Amino acid sequence: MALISDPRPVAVDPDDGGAAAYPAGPGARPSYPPLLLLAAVAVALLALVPLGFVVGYTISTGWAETVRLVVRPRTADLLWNTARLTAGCVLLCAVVGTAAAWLVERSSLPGRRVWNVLLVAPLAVPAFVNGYGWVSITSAVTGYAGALLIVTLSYFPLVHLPVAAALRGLDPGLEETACALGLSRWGAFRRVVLPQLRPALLGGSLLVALHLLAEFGALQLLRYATFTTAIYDQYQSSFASAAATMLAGVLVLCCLLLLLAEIRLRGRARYARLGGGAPRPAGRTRLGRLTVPALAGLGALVALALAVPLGSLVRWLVTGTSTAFDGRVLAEAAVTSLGLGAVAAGVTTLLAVPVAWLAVRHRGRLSTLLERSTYVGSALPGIVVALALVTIAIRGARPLYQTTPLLVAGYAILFLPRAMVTVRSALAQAPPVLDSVAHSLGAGTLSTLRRVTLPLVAPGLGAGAALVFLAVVTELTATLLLSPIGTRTLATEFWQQSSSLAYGAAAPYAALMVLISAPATWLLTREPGRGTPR
Amino acid sequence: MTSLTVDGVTKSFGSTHVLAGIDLHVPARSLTAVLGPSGCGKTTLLRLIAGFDDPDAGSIALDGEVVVGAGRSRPPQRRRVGYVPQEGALFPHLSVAANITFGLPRRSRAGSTRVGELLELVGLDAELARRHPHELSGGQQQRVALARALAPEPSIVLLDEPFSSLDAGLRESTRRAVAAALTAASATAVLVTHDQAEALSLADQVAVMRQGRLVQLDSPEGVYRTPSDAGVAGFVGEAVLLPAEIRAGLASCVLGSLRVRWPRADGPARVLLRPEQILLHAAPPGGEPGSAGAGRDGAGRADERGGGEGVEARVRDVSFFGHDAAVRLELVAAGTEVLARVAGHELPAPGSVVRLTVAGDALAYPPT
Repeated sequence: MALISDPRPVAVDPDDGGAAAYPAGPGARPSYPPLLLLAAVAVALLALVPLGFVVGYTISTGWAETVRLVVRPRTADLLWNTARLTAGCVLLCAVVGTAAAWLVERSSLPGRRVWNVLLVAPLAVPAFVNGYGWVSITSAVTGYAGALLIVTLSYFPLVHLPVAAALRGLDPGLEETACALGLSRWGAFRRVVLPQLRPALLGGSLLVALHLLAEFGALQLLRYATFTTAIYDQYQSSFASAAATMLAGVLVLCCLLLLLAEIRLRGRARYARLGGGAPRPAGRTRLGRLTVPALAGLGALVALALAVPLGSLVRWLVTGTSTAFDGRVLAEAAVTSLGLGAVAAGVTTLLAVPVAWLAVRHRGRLSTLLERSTYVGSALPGIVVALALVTIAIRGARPLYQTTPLLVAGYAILFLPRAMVTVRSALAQAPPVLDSVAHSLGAGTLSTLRRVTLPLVAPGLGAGAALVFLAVVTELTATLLLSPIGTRTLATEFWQQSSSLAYGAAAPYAALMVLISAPATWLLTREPGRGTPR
Repeated sequence: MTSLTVDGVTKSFGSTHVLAGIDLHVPARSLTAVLGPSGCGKTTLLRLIAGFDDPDAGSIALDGEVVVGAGRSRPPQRRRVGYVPQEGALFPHLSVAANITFGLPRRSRAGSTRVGELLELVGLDAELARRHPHELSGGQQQRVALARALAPEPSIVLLDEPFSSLDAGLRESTRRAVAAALTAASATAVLVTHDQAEALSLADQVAVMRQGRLVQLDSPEGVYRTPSDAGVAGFVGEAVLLPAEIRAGLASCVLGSLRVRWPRADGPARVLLRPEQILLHAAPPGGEPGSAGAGRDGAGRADERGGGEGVEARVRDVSFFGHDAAVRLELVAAGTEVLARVAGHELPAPGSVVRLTVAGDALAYPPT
C-alpha cells in the first residue's frame, strides 16, 4: 500500500456536502438513469471482488478445514506480532502527531510554515524506502523496537495532518465560551478542544492502523513478521495456497474489526461547527522558556523521519554508484512505472465517475450503497487484493493471469477510494442548478456538458487522477504479485535489489520514487479550502 | 414579451401530490408573485414552467402557444425562458461578461455591446464585466444572474426566491434594482417567494399557494385587504381573529360591534382585523366612567359596557421597531389577547391601561 494519505471514508462523510441535492419535491424517489446505474453497479462489484473472494473461499473450504488452517501456533504468533506493532504504533503516532499539530497550529513556535512542510514530508518517503534507509546503515533496527520506530516515523503524519486541520478549523469561540464559563485554559483544552479533535484523531489512527496491517516492504526488510509478510512468504513458497488465503481472511477480519471499532468510538455526536458566521483564527499559546525544548523535539523528529532515510539514500547514491547500476534498466523501469501509473490513473478516475455521479446527482439508498462499496478496497491490504486477483485469474480467467489489465484492475480496486473522494467533490462543484440555467439559456445537453459541467469538473478529475498516479508509482506489494513476468517497475526493481542486499543498486530507484512523490506531498501541506474557487 | 397561461397542471413525486391542479394567468409585461410557505409547491410550479420537469397533467402556454401539454413537451432550451435561481447560480468558471453572453449565439458573444447595456439595466458598473463571480457580493451576483437571464430576450423571466439568501439591507436595494430592470425591459416575470412583504411590494398580482393549490389570485392590495380565507389572511400579514356573532351586517365581538364588509348571513363567525386597524387611546384618569377619552375620530363603535369610547385593555408588552411598534394587549373585561400596531412616536407603557377602538371594516369568515 502506498504512502500518501488515503482520503478514506473516515475522513469524508458522504452525507455531508451534498447540499446541492436535486430540488425534487418532498419525498421524491430518485430515479436512476439505467445506463449509469449499470456502470456504477459494475464498478461496485469490481471493488467487492477481493472481499467476496476471501469470504467465498472460506465458505467453500468448510469449517473444519478453516479451523485446521487458522488455529495454529503460527497464527497466534503473527496475531501477537501484528497486534502489538499496531497498538504501539497507533499510540505513538497519536501522541506525536497531536503534539506536533498543536505546536504548529496553536503555539508561538517560530517557523510554523517550514515545520508544517517538514512534518508532512515523511509521507513522500515510502515506508519501505524508510526501512531500507535505516536497515542499510544499521542492523540494530530489526525486530520489534526497530519496526515500531520506523513505522511510527513513516506514519505519524497521517495523524498530524487531520489533527492540524481540525485545530485550524476549530472555532476559538468555543474555547472562549468555555473560559467564560469558568474553565482554566488546560480545562478548556481537555473538555472542549480534545473532544473536538476526536474524529480527526480517530480517523488518523484508523489510517495508521490500516496502513500497518497492509505494510509489507518495510517490515520484510526489518525482518519483522506480520500477517502481510507471512502471506507473501507463503505465496512465494506454495503459490496460491489455501494457507495463504486463510491468513488473508484473518487479516481482512482484523481490518473490518478496526473499521467497526472506529465507527463505534466515533459515535453519533456532532462535531461540526453550528451556526453561521466566519470563524476567526485562534489565538496562540506563548511557549516562553519551552520554545527551545519544543524546537529540539520537533527537530529530532524530523531528523529521524527525514534526514536519516534521505541521508542514507544519498550516501548510497554517491558511494554505491560503483555497484554498477544499469542506466538503461533504470530508464526502462521509470518509463514502465510512469506508464502504468498513467493508465491506472485514467482507468480508476473513469471508473469513479459513474458512481460519484449517482452519489451526487441521484442521492438515494442504492447510490449510497454503491458508493460505500467502492470504499471497501481501501480497507483491504494490497496483498489481499493481489492474492484474490491472482487466484481468481488462475482458476477462472487463465488468459488474464500475468497481464497488465489484471495489474491495472488491482490498482483500480486499491485506489478507487482516492479517486472517488476527489471526483465526488469535483461533481459537487457543478450543481444541477447550473444545468438548469444553461438549459434555460438555450444550451442543449451536450452543449451544457461541454460549456459548463466539464470545465467545472476537469480540475477535480485531474487531481483525482494525480493522486492515483502517485499511489501507483510507489505501490510495492500488489505490483510484486500481479505484474507480468518481465515487467520491471521502479518498485519491483528496488525490491529486487534491496532484498538481495544490493543497497547501492537499489538507491536510484528509491530516489526516483521519492522525487515523484514529493509534489503530491507538497500539495497536502497547503492550507485547504482557502483558495479562489476557480 | 409574452403572457403565460397555466391550465390545470398537476404534479406528484411518488405518492406526494405536490401540485393539485393549478390555473394561473400572467398577463404580458407584468410581474406576478407566487407566494406560499415552503413546501407548498411553488418552486415545482416554476420548474414546470421552465421545462426542467414535466407536469403529470394540464398544459402550459406562452403567448397562447402550448409548450407542454397533451403528452408533448418542449425542452427548456427551446422555451426561451429566463431563469434566475436562488443565490444566482452564476457559472463559477466564467467571467461576468461570459456569464451574461452565455445564452447568446456564438457570433454575438464576443465584442458585444449587450454586456454593457445589460449591466447598466440591472444597475451595475460596466467595470464588473471582467470580474469573476466569486469577486462579487451576493447582491451583485443576483443582478448579474438577472442580466444573464435577460440577455437572450426571453419570453418570460422566472425568479426562484432570488433575494432570500441576501441580508436585509442588500435585499431591499437588490429587490428595487431587479424590479426596475424588469420594468425597463418590459419583461413578463414570475417571482416565487415565501416573503409576503416582497410579494406585496414588488408584484402586480399575487398568487397565494397552499398545499399544492392556488388559493387566491389578486392584486397585492386585494390579497391583503380581502384575503379569501383566514389562512391567507394570516399568511400575507399579521391578523387579529376574534369569534363574533353576526346580526344585521354588524359583528359583535369583544372589541364591540364592528361593521362588516360583505356581510354574511346572521350567525356565529370569526372576524378579522389587521393590527393597524386597532387604535389606542389614553384611558381616562382614574378610569371614571363617563369622562371623555383622548380618542381621535372614533371610527369604532362605542362599547356599551365601558362608559368612555372603546374597550379597556392592559398593555402586556411592546416590540419597538423604530418606525412603528407592535403592542400586545389584554382586554380587561374579556381577557382576550389582541395585537395592535402603533406609530413609533406614541408608545404606551407596558402595564398601563388604554382604550381600543377599531378603524375601518372587519372581514367575517365562517367559525372554525
